[in-house]
Amino acid sequence: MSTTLDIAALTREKQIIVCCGSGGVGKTTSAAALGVLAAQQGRRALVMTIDPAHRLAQAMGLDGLNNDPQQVSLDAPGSLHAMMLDSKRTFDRLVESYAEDERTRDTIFANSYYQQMSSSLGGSRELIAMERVFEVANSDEYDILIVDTPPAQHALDFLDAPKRMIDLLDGTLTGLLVKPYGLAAKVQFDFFRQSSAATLKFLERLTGFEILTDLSDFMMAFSGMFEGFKERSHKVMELMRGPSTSFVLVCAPEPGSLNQADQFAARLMKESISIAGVLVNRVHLPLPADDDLSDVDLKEELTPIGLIADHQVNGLALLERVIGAYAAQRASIKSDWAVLSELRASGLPNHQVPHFNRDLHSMEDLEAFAAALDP
Amino acid sequence: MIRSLTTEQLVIVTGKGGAGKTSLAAALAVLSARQGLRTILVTFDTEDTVHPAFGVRLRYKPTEVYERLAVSRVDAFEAVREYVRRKMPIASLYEGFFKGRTFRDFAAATPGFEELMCLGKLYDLATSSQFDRVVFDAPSSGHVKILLGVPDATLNVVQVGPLNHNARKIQHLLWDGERTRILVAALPEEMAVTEALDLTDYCRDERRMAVGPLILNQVVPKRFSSAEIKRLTEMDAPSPALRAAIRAAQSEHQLATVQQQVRQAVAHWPDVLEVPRLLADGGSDGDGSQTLIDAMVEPLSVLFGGST
Repeated sequence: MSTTLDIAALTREKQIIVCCGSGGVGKTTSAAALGVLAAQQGRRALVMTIDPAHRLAQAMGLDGLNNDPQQVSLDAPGSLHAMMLDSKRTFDRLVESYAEDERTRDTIFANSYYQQMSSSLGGSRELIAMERVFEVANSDEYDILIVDTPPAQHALDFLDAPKRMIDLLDGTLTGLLVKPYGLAAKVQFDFFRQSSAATLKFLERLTGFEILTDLSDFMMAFSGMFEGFKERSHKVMELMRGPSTSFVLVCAPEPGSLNQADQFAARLMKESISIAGVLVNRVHLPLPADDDLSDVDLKEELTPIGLIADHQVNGLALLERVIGAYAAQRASIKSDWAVLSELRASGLPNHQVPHFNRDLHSMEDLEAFAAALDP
Repeated sequence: MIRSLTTEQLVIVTGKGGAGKTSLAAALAVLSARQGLRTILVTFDTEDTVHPAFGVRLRYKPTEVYERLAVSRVDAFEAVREYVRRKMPIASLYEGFFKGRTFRDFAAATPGFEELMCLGKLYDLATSSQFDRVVFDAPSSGHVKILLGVPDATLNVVQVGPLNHNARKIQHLLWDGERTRILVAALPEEMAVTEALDLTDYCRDERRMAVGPLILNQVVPKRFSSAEIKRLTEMDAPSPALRAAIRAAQSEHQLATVQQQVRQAVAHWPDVLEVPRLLADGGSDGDGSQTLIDAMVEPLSVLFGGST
């Protein structure tokens, strides 16, 4: 059932590649390497990253706090740009472009709910990532956009956040909160109004009133922008579903990876989004001579090592320590490939990138990574 | 000097993804239970998942896995429901609202509301008479920063009422170094350690929490000298097994050398606890992970007044 994920075909043909996955699996590095590969194929690539590690950011020329794309110096027929997402600034810009007038804009900016939401909390990073994807995808400056998503417990939190936002703006709560002020009120049935009042009262008792006032102010200011915002969010989803977008799950060969991949595939299918496959990082590649020698035979085979040095460390001769290192490596390989064979059995196309035994943070490292993506 | 865990009611284990938080938290919970503390290991998750080490399905309701050791997962939906039930003597009347869209929208729209509810549940567990200690297998660095900031953020937005009261309660628990400790785990890689030190600073300076020791996980000890590796590289190796074994030694040496630089860089840090790389034997069936936990217990015992 197993197929290979053709990474080079993706970077050659797609317009958007979204890299999903949990943290610590090399997602940002993978996204950057995909960008390098695309540039090597002659495309104008932009890598959008969320929170790159300092040295990787430096390598890509992203050490400033700049929200705009920076050119990465790379010897390739195409070009590579990289940018860091600044959710607060992008959100502010969004408000600026949709607010009806300056007063509305300032009301929103001054609202403490907005300040919390736009800077750190409540899935705003995800929302903004999507927003920026849309912005860039509609410009003609780049051929391919590679998106590094925020690390998520579940790979598709990235998609859920904007949906939650639309749900919210579209929901009854907005109506409730906006209504008491008599603005943008929707026509409601009496019975609904009664239950609404009870709900509001209940929420007030549950929380303390002020948060509702704040939220209400925010909704009121936001309601004028709502249609534009909603339409845009729908367009972003359309873009994600389109044939020129591919989703790749980045993972490491760890217990639980298969589970994650299955959930990921199921969720994407539910959203009618096409899944390209799984990129498995840090795989210990099998040994050319991965035979199952018995301990006695192995010791026999390796005896020449005993002849080259007799220095002991922790009471162990060199031969014993080499056997130890070899056994450790074989255990890592066995464990990695047990996970991989499960992944393969699930039928998802996959591609393995070898374990590099070191941090990857220079352009040379990224080029080495890119080479492993297109062997 | 590593300070042992003694009176801590809440032990938070975090770190960059892939740092082995789940195994470390499980091992710490096992050690706490062995020390006689009634312990509960808690994760935040929205779905029932099987714990990789204990092989049991994690539910909101605590499940006992060993004597004095229970596991549970906390999710916002259940935590909010429990909160509502407690606040409202006639909660059943509100079940409709609770399940209705308006309330869900409210929860989704209010930044930090769900996080605060989850923290509230942690608080309840940590201070309940049922358990002596909560070991919290916390989200990774980025998320945990947001999570720990929620009580402060809530207090800024809500000046009165139950949410304010809750946030303050949680804040006091987190601030109290006798009751709460946060442990940051990292692989011995430069980027991971830098991030861990950032997080440590953040927790100590901005969140005023007791932090440490820094746990360096999956340390590969240096087994060979460079001279030995040089000799191995130069030696005549006719058999495939011999060549493969030499390559394994070279590769491990390379990794150990890179790690050693990182370990030296944090050596000046007041408290660092190293956990050697332990090899799970195979697959994702959970058995390997159980062995892993058992093997971690020994290096971690220094946190429980033991010696290493």
